[in-house]
Amino acid sequence: MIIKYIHKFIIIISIFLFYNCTEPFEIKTQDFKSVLVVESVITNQLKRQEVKLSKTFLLEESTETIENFAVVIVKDNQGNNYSFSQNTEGVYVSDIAFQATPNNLYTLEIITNDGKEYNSTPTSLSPTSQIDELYPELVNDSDLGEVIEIYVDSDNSNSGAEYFRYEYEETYKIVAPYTSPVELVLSNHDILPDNTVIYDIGFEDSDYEQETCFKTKTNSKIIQTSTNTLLDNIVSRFGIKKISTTSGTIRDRYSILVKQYIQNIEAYTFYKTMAELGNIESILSSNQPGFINGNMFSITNKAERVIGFFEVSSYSEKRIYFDFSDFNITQPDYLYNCTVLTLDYNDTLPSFFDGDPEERERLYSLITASNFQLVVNSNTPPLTPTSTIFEIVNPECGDCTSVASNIQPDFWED
Amino acid sequence: MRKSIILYLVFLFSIQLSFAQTNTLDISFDGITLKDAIVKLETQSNRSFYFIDDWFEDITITKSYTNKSLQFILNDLLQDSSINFFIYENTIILTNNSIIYNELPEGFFEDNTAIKNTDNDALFYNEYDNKNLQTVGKQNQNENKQEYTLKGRAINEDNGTPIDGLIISVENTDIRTTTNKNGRFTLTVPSGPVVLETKLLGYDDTIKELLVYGNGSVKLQVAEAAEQLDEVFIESSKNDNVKEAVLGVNKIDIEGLKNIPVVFGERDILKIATTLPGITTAGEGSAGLNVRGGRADQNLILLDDAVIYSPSHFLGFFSAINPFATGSLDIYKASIPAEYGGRLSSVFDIKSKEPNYEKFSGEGAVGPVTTSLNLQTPIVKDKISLTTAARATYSGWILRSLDEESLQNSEASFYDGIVKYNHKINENNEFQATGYYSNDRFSITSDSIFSYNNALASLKWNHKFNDKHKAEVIAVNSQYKYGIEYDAESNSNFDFDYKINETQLKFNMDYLHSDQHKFKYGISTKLYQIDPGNVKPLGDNSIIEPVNLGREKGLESAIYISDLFEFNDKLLFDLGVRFSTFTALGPRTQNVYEDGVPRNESTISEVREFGNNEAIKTYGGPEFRLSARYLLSPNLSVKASYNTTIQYLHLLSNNTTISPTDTWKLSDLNTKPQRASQISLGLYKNLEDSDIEISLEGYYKKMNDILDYKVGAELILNENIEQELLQGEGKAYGVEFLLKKKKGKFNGWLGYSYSRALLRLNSDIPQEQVNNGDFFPANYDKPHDISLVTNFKLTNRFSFSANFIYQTGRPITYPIGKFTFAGSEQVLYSDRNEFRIPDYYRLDLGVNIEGNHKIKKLAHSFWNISVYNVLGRNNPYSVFFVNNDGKIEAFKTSIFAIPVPTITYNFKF
Repeated sequence: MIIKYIHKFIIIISIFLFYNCTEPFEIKTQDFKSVLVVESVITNQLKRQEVKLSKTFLLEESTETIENFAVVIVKDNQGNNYSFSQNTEGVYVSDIAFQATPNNLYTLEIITNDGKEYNSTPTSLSPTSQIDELYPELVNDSDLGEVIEIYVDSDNSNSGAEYFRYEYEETYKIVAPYTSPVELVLSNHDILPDNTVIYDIGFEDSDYEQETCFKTKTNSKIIQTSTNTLLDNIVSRFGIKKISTTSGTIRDRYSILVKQYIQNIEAYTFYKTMAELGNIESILSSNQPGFINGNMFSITNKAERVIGFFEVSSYSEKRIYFDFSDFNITQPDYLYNCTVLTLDYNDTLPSFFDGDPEERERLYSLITASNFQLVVNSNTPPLTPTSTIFEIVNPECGDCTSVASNIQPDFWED
Repeated sequence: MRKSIILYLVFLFSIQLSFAQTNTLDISFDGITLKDAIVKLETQSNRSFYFIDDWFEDITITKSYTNKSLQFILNDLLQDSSINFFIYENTIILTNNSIIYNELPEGFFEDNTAIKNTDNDALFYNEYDNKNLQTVGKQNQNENKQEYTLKGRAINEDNGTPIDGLIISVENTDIRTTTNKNGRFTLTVPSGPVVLETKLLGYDDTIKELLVYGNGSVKLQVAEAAEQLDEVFIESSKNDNVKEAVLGVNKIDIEGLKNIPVVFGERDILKIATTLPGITTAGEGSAGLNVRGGRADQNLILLDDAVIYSPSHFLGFFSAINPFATGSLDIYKASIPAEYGGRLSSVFDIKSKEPNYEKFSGEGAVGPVTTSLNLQTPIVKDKISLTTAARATYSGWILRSLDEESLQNSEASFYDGIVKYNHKINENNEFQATGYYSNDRFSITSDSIFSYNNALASLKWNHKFNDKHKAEVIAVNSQYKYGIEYDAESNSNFDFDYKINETQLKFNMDYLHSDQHKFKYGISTKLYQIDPGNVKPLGDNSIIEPVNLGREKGLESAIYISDLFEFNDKLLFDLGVRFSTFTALGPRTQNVYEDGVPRNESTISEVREFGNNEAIKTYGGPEFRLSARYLLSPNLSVKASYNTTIQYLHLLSNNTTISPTDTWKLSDLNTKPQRASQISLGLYKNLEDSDIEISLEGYYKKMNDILDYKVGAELILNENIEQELLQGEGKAYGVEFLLKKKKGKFNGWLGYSYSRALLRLNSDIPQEQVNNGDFFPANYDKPHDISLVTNFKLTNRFSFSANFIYQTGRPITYPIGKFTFAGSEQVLYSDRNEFRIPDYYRLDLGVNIEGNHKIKKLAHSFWNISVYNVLGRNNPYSVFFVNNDGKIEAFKTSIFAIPVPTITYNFKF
C-alpha cells in the first residue's frame, strides 16, 4: 500500500511536469520466441481441476495459441497420479475430480507434443482461509467520483494465510428499455425501373425474451493483497472493485462472486511481478522489466524458458447481490445510448426536395442490416396492418440478447 | 593632492632651504602607524607638517631615536616609503614621490641646450594632470637610471582574488609579461610615464598610467568583463593538462556556464559535466551520472568536502547546486587522488564560490522557474567574508499554470541555500565553515506531501606550519532525507521517512619534501547512520502498522599517502595508496541464508542478533592510485594510470534512473562492497600557446560485486532487502577524445567517446541469473557520444552559443511476445537490454545580450535567451507497456519533444 503511494507520487509528478509527452505506438515483434505458458491453480475444492497450457504469440496478434496434445499429470507424494485431458476449449481438465489436501506435495508434469518435458517444483497446499464479509459501500473516489466499492473482509488471526489473490465474476441484469411484443419483418425488396424502392411490411410476434438479460464479466487485472505489513492478520475493507454510481451495470440488479485464493510467498511474488510489469505506470523511472521465473522448468533443456506457475491453493468464495436503490442514488442511465428514430415508409423524397431525408430505404437497411428493433409502447401510434410510420431503436436498446444472454443463471436470486 | 602640488610649486620657486637644523630629538615609536609616527614627531618637534593622510601605507613603526636630528629621523622613517620631505624653516612639507629640487635642472634657462637624459629629468607631477596617474618609486635626487623594476599584483576588483595569466604590457613597447597564479608580476619599465595595458579573456581591458621614479610596486585592480561573454568554459591552468601526472581530470569553470543554453534558464554544472566525454546520464530529467561505465551511485559528489547525496531538484531536472554559489568543479574520472575514497567511479569536487574580502558584491538571475541571488559580504576587510546564496521557485507556479484540472490543487516547489564563512585568522591559519540546505516539496493531491532534502555542514581549518608543512582538518556532516505524508479521508493515512546521515573527520597533511618529492598523507573516518524506513500511522483510525526497519550503522576509515615524485624533467609520478576499511555495526538483526538456493524467507538458516556497536562484518583493502606522465615535448605528453577503488555504500534503485525515493544501503553480512580497478592511458597536446588543447584517453575498467536486482524487486521498506539483491561483475572500456579551444571570439569544446559498459549476473541459481549469465549492456551503455559546446562573441554586447549532442540510444528490454495469464494479456520480454531506443540528438541555441557598459552603473545585467531542443527532436526517453483491460498497449515518452524557449535576466553588482 505504502509502496504503491510512494511510486504513485513520483509517477504523477513526472507525467505532468514539463513538456513531457507520452504517446502510444504500434508494437512490432522484433525477435519472436515461442515459449510455453503454464497456468494452473489446484484448489482444495473437490472438482475437476484445470491446467491451461498455451504458447506466446506475436505482439501484433490478439488470439492466444493453445498448446495441444500434451501429456499432463499431477502427482502427489502419496503416490496418486491425476491425469488430465483437453476439453473442447483446449483446457486440460483432470479425468476425475479431486481436491488438494494439506501435508501433501503436488508436482505438475508436462510432456508436450514435440516431446519436451517440463516439471514444477513440488508444491503444498496454502493455509486455509474464508471470506468473512463481502459488502458494497458508497464512497467517494478521488479519480472516479462517487462509486460503489466492493470490499472483502477476511479474518486470518488463527490461520497462516498472509497472501491473497482475488478473482471476481460480476453478473448484472440488463433490462432493455425499448421492447415490443412484435417484430417488423421487411421482405421482397425491389427497385423499380424509376429507381423507386419497394418492399413488403409484415409483423411477427417475438418468440424469445428480449427485455431481460444477464451479463457476466470477469476481472482482467490481477488483484492481490497481503497482510504481512499489517498489525493483525486481517484483510479488512480490501477493495475488489469500484463501480461508478452512474454505471449502467447497476441500473438493474447486480451480483458479484468473489473468489479468494490463498497464495504462498513465491506465487504471490510471481503474480505481483507480472502485474507490475504489465502495468508500468511510471514514465520517468520504470521498473526493470525482464523474464519472471516461476516454479516451472524444463527437464529437457535447463536454459529453456518456461513461463508460469503451478499453484496449490486453498479456495473460498462468496456472492452478494444489490440494487441501486439500496443506496441513496438515482437510477443510472441504461448501459447503452438509445437512438429512437421515427421513419415513414412513404417518405421517398430525398432532402433535396422537401428538406427531409428519404426514409423508405433507410428503414429497410436499419431493420435488416443493423438489426434495429421496432418500438411499441403507450406513446407510439397503434400498429395496424397498414401502418407506414414506425419507431425503431438500435438493437442494444430493443433486444438485450444483442449484448447479453437471456438465460437467467442458476444462481440468480431476484 | 591638490594641496601638495600647490605647495610644491610655491616652494619650488622660492628656494630658501634650511638644512642647517641643529635641533636634535629623542623620540620613540612603539608599534604605531607611520602616520601616527609623523604626527607624534610633529608634536614633539613643534613644527608644522604638511601631508595627506592617504600617502601613508599601513605599516607600523617600532623605532627609537636618541639625539638625532629631525632630518635623520625623517630620512630613516621614510626610507622605505615613497614619501619625500622638505624642511623649510619651521615647516616640514612631505611630498609623495616627488623631490623638491633646490635647484633647477641644468640648462633650464639655456635655449636649445641639449639636456642629457631628458626623459629622466625632474618630472613634475602636474605635467600629468590625470586622476588615474599613479607614481611609482621615490624620486631620488641622485638617481638617474633609465630603467626600473616594477613589481605588482593583479587582483579581481570584484572579489579580491588574484588573477592568473593576466597579460601586462607597456604601451608602445615590446615589454610584456603575464601574472603568475598569485597574480604577481615583475616588469622592467623605462623611467617616466609608463602606460600599462592589461588583457585577459574574461576581464575588462584596462590601462594604468604610471609615473615611474624608481623601483616600486603597483596594485592592478581589474574588473571582470561586464558579463564575461567570452568566458572560457573549462578552465585549466596553462598547460596543466599536459604537465600534470593525473589522467581523466576535467575542470569546469562555473562562470562560463552562463553562456550555455539550458532548459528553463537553470544553469546546471552537472548537466554541463555530461557534455564531457566519459560522463553520461540515462536521459533528460534523470539525476544520475554514469562515469566511464559506472553505476550512478559510484560518484562521490562533494560540496566543500561534504557529500551531497541527492544533488538534484525536481527529480533530476535541475541540479541542486546553485550555480551562483559555486566556484569550481573538478571531476576525477580515472586518477582519483588518494585523499578520496568510498566510490568506485569518480569524484566530483565542487567548491563554493571564493570569498570576497574586498567589497560587497552580488549576483542573481530571474528565470521562468527560479530566482536566485548570491551575496558576498566582507565582514572585516581582508579577514572575514561571508558568502550567502539562495534560490527558490515561484511557489508551485508551474503546476498550477498547467492546463490540467487534476493539478489545480497541486504544488511543486524547491529551494536551496548556502552560507559560507571564511576567516583569515593570520598568515598561517584560515578557517572556513559552510552550511548548505536544499529542499523539494511536492503536493500532488491535497492529501499528500512528498518532500526530500539535503543538509550539510562542513568545517575546515587550514594551518601552515612552515613553507614545507601544511595541514588541513575537516569535519563534515551530510544528511539526506525524504518523506511522504499521506493524510486523506481514509483509514490508511501514514507518514513515511527515510534518512541517511554521515559524519566525517578528515586530517590531511601536505609535506613539500623537496622539488622531487611532494607528499600528501592523511587519515579519515566516517560514521554512517541510515534509517532505512520508518512508517507511522497518521490519525487514530489508521490501520497502517508502524514499521521501523531499524538503523544501519557503519564506520568507514582510511589512511592514505601519496608522493608526487619528479623523477626528472620529463618523467613525473603520482604514487598513492589508500587503505580503507569498513565495519558494519550493530545493533542489527541479520539473516544468514543457506548456500546455493535463492534467498527468501524459507531459506534463512539462522537469524543473528548483534549488540550495539558490535562488529557485524568488516571489509577492507588497499586501493592503489598510481599515475605517471612522460613529457615528449613541452606541449606533448603521455600518461598512464592504474586505480583501484572500493565502495561500501550502495544505492538501491530499481529504476533506470536515479529517483529521490532511492535508498542507500551499507554493506553488511549479505551485501559485499563493490570493487573496481581501472587502467588508463592518455595522450595530451597543446597547440598555439595552449589556446587549443587536445586529449585522447583510453581506459579499461573491471568491477566486482556490482549491485543489481531481481526482476520486479521491491526495494522500499523491505526488511529483508538482501532477498531482492544480486551482485555481479561489470566491465567498461572506451576511448575519449576532447578538443578544447579555450580562448578567442570563438571558443568551446568538442568531445567524442566510444565506450561500452557491460554487466554480468551469473549464478548457479536460475532465479538469480540474468541473460543466462552472459555479459549484457548496462542501462547507460551508449557507445557513441558526441558533444559540441560552442560560444561565439560577435561584439562586446552580443554573443551566441550552441550545443549539439548526439548519443547512441540506450539499451532497453523490449517485448518479444505476448501471452495470456490470469485472464489478461501479459508481455514476454527479451533478454535484458537486448534492444535500444532510437539515437538521441539535440541542438540548443542561445544568445546573450548585455546591458550597456557604463562603468559606474549600479549593476551589470544581461539577458539570456535560449531555445532548448531547437530541432524539436522527439527523443524517446523510454518505452513501456500497459495492460489496459487485458490488452497490452505500448507507449513511448519523451521529455522535451518540442523546442523550449527561455528568457533569463541576470544581474551583478
